[in-house]
Amino acid sequence: MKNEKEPDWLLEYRNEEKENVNKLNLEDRKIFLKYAERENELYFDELREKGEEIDHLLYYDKETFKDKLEIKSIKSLKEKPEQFYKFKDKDRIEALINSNFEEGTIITFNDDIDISKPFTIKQSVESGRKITKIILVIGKNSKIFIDDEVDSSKNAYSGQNIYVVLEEDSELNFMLLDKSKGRSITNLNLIIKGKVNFLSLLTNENISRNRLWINMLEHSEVTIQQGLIGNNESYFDVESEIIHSEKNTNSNLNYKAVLDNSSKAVYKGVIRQEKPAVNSYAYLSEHSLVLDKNAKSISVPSLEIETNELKAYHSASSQPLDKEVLFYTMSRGLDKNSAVKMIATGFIESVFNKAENAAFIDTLKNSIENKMEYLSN
Amino acid sequence: MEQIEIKGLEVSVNQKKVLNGVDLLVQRGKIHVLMGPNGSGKSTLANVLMGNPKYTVNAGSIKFDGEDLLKLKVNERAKKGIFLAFQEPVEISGVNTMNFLVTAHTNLKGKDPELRKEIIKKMNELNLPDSFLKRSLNEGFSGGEKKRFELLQVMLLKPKIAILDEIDSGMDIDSVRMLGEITKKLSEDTGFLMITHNDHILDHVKPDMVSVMKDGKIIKSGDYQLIEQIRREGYRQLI
Amino acid sequence: MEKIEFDYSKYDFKNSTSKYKILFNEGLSEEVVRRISKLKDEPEWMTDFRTNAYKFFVKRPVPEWGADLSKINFENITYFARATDKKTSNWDDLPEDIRDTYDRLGIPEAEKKSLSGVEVMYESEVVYNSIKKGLEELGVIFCDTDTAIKQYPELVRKYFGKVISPNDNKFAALNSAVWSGGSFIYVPKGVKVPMPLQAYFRINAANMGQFERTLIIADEGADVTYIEGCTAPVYSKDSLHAAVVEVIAHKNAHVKYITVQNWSSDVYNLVTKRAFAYENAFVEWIDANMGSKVTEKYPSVYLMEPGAKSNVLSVALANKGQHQDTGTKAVHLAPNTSSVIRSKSICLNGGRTTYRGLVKVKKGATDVKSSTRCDALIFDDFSRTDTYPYMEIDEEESTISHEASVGKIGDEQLFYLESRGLSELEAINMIVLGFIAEFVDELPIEFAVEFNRLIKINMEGAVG
Repeated sequence: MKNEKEPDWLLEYRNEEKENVNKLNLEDRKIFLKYAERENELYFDELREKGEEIDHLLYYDKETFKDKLEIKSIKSLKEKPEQFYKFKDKDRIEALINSNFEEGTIITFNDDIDISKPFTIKQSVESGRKITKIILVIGKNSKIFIDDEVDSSKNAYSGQNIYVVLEEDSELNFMLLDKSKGRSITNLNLIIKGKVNFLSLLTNENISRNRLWINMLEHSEVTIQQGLIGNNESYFDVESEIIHSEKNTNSNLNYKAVLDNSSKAVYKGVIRQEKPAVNSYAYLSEHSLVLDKNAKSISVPSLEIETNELKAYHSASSQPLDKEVLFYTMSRGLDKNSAVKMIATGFIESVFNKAENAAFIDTLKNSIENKMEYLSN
Repeated sequence: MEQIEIKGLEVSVNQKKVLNGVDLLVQRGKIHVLMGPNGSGKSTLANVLMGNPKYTVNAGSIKFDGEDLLKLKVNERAKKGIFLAFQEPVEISGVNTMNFLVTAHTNLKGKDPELRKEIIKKMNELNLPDSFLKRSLNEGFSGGEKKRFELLQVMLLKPKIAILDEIDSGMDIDSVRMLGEITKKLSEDTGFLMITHNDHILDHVKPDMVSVMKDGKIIKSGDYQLIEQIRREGYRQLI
Repeated sequence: MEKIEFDYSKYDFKNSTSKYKILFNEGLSEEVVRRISKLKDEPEWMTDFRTNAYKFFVKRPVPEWGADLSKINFENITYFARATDKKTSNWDDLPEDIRDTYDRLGIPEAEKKSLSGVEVMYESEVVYNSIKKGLEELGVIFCDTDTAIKQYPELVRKYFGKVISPNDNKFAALNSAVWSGGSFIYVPKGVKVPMPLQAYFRINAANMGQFERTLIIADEGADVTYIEGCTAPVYSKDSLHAAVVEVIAHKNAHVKYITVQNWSSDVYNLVTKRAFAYENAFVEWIDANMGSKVTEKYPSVYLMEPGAKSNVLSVALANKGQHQDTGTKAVHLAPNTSSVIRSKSICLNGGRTTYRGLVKVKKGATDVKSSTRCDALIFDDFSRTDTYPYMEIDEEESTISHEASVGKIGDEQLFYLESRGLSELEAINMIVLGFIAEFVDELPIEFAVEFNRLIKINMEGAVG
C-alpha cells in the first residue's frame, strides 16, 4: 500500500478519535484508575507517516478460503463502514490506536462456512512502530478459527485494535499469542450472537496492555481461557470484560498467571449482567502462582449484576509454590529449577483444558514451554 | 369423606405437556400407591397437588373435600392438611432445623409446649441423631437421612393427606420396613398417595388402591392384585 | 400483600428542638469549626488539629468512585446541636423527651441485663454515660471523647488521629474538623471486660450532621466488645453522619466492634473505621448496614505485627432508594498475619449493594493467609449488586483466596417452606435470616433478637 490519499471520511474519523484521546479516561471504570500507573508509557506522539508500507499481516491458505471471505483495506472504502458505528471507544488508549492506525482491514467471512484451518494474523514488529485496526465480520452459521500472533523486538512498539461481529449460529475459535519483547497493546472487542471460544497466552517481556471486551447478545456463549507468564521486569495490564446484554447468555472465564522475578500483573475481570440478561450464567475464576518475592499480583474479579434471574460466581486466589509439591518433585531427582518449571508449566497448561483444536493446543503448549525455558539457565 | 379428587388434569412445564388428563382419588385413611416408569409424570402430579408454581395447570380440577384446591396458595393447602414429602428435599443454609420444625408446626398445628420433646422422641424412633436439629435445614444430611427427615415431618404435622414422592428411594432395607410400619399406623387417620417405582415397600404396606401412570396418564387402576400382575409381567403388559 | 407485623414507628418519632440549648445555623466555615472548639473549651492542639483538618476538607474533592454523593449540600447541614446542658449517669436526670427516646428504644432495660456500660449520644453530644461498678476500679475508661480530652489528655493525645489521619479522605477530614461526642475506651493490660459496652447514637433534628469520634485502646492482653446502634426519624431532608472510629489493639488484645446501623432512609452515612492490630492481637468488625440513604463504609484492619488476626463479617441490606456501598480492607504489613472476610448483601425494590474490598499484602509480610467470601441475594431486576474485591499481593509467601456468588432466593426453597405452612413472606424472611445466620451468631443473644426484628422491618415490600 503506497502513499495513497485517504478518503475524507477517514481523515474526519481520525480527527474525531484524536479528540476522544483527550476526552476519554485512561480507564472506562473510574475504580480501576488507581492501577493505570504505567499507561502513560504506552503513549506515542510522533506519528508515523500514514500509508507507509508495512509488512505483511495476514496469512491464510488461499485455496481453502477461496470464495469464503472478502478482504478490504479500510483506506480503499468510499464510505465509513457500518461496523465503525457499532463499537464505541472505551478508553484513551483505544482511541489513540483508532486515530493512528497505519493499516486497517475489514475481513468478511461468508455465511455457512466451516473451516478448521486457522486464518492467521501475524503482527511482528522488527523496529519502530506498527499500529493496526482489523475488523472481522463472521456471517451466519459459520465456524472458523483465527489465530492472532503478536511479536515485537525489544525497542519496537505494537498496537492492535481488533473488532469482531459474530452473527447467529456461528462459532469463532480465537487464539491470541502475544510474546512481544517491546511494548504492546492489544484491544479485542467482540459483539456476538453465537459462540466464542477464546484462548490467549501472554508472555510479554515489556510493558503490555491487553483488553478483551465481549458484548453478549441473545443466546450467545463464551468460554475464555487466559494464561499469563511473567518474568524479569515484565508488566501486564489485563482487563477482560464480559457484558451479558441479553437473555440466555452463558459465560465462563478462567485465568491463570505465573509471576516470577520482578514481574507484575494487574488483572481486572469484570462480569456485567444487565437487566435484560435474564436466565444467564456467569463464572469467573482467576488464580495466580507467585514464584518470587519481588513479583506482584493485583487482581480485581468484579461482578456487576442488575437482574435477579441469573447465577453468577467467581473465585480467585493467589498462592506461592506448594512446598510439599516441590519437595516431592525434588525427591524424585529434579533440581529446583526443573521442579519449579514442571509445576508452573502444569499450572498454566491446565487453564487451557477446555481447548479442543489440536493445532491450537500444540501452539499453546510449545509457547508455554519456550517461555518456561528461562528457568533452564 | 375427606378426599382429594383429581379430574381431567392437564399440566405443562416450560410449555411442555407433562400431564394429559389425570383422574385420581386419594382418600383419608386409605393408601393409594402410584406406580409407573421414570418420567411418566408421577412427581409432576405430586408437585401440582402441593401447588409448585413451576407447573402450569391447563385443564382439569383438583378438589379437596369439595373445595377447589387449585385456587389455594401453597401454604393454604398445607393448612388444609395436605403434605408433600419431597423426592429431593432442598437444603437451606443458615435455617436452623429445629427452628424450621417449630415454625412449621406452629403454623399448621398451633403452639405445643411439648413439641421439642416430641421431636426428639420421634427422631429416636427414626434413627435420626438429634444433633441434626442444630444444623441447617437438610444440609449435610445423607440421601436416606433426608427421606427419614421428611417422614419425621409427616409424623409431627399429622396431615390429612400425605403425598410421599419416592420416599423409599435412597432408604436402606431397615428404613423401608420402618417406613411401612409407620405408614400403616398413620393410615388410620391419614390418607396416603405413595409414589414409588420400587416395589420393596409394597412388601410392608398393603395398599387399598393401586394406579399406574404412563406418559402423563393413568393407564390402569385396581387393587392389590394389580401389583402382583406388574410383578409377574412388568409394565409393558399393561400398555 | 401481607401486612408486616412490625413497623418503623419504634424508631420514627421526632422531638421538638425548641428546648435545645445550642443549635447552630446551617453551614460550615473555619469560624464554625473554631466555635465548636471554643464551646468545648478545648486545648490549643485540638483547635489546631480541627482547623488544619478543615483545610484538608476544603481541598479534597467529593469522592466519585462510589455511591452518588453529588446531592450532599454541605451548606445545608447543621454542624452542632446541644440538646441539654446536663450529662448524666442517671436516666431520671435526662429531660423527659430525651429519656423517653431511649426508653422506647429499650436501652435502660438492656443496660440492666446484659451490658458493662452504656453511652448515649443525642445530636452532637453524649447525654448519658455509665459503667458498671468494679470496671472503673480496674482502670477501664469508658466515657465520651470530649470528656476524655479533659480528663485523660495525654492518653488521648497519644492516639488521637494516629490511626486515621485528618487527611485520609474528605469525610475523615470533615469529622476531624467538626467532631463532637463519640466514645473513648481504654482497657488496661490484662483486663477483660465481661459484657459489652454499648453506645447508642441518635439524630433527632432535620438536616443534622452527626460527627462522633470514637477511640478504643485495648492494652496488652485486654479484651473488650463494643456495640453501637444508630437510628434517626424520617425527614424529607438529608442528614449527614460522618464518624471516625480508631481502634488500637496492642499485643495479645482482642477487640470486637459490633455495629447495627439503622439510620432512616435520608441519612448519608459516610464513616471511616480503622484498627491497628499489633502482635498476636485480634480485631473483629461485625458490621450491619440496613438503614441510611447512602452508606460508604469499609472498616479496615492494619495487621501491623506478626501473629495479628482480623475477622470482618458484614451484612448489607438495601431496599428502595438505598445504596449500601460497603466492604473492608485487610492490610497485611507483617508476617504470619491472617484475615477472614465474609460479606452478605441483600438488595430489593431497586436497592443497590456494592461490595468493595481490599486485601493487600506488603512485601516482607510472609506466610500471610487471607480468605474472602461475598454472597449477594438479589430480589428483582431493578435492584443491583456489584462486587469489587481488590487483591494487591506484593509477597510470594501468601495464600489469598476469594469467592463470590450472586443469585436470587431459590423457587424450590420457597416452595418447600410454603408447603410446610409458611406464607411467602415468612418463607422469604426465614431464608434471608438463614442467609445471614453467620452474622447473627456473632451477636450477643439479646441483640440477635432485636437484629432479626430489624431485618424483617427492613425487608418491607419483599413480597410484591
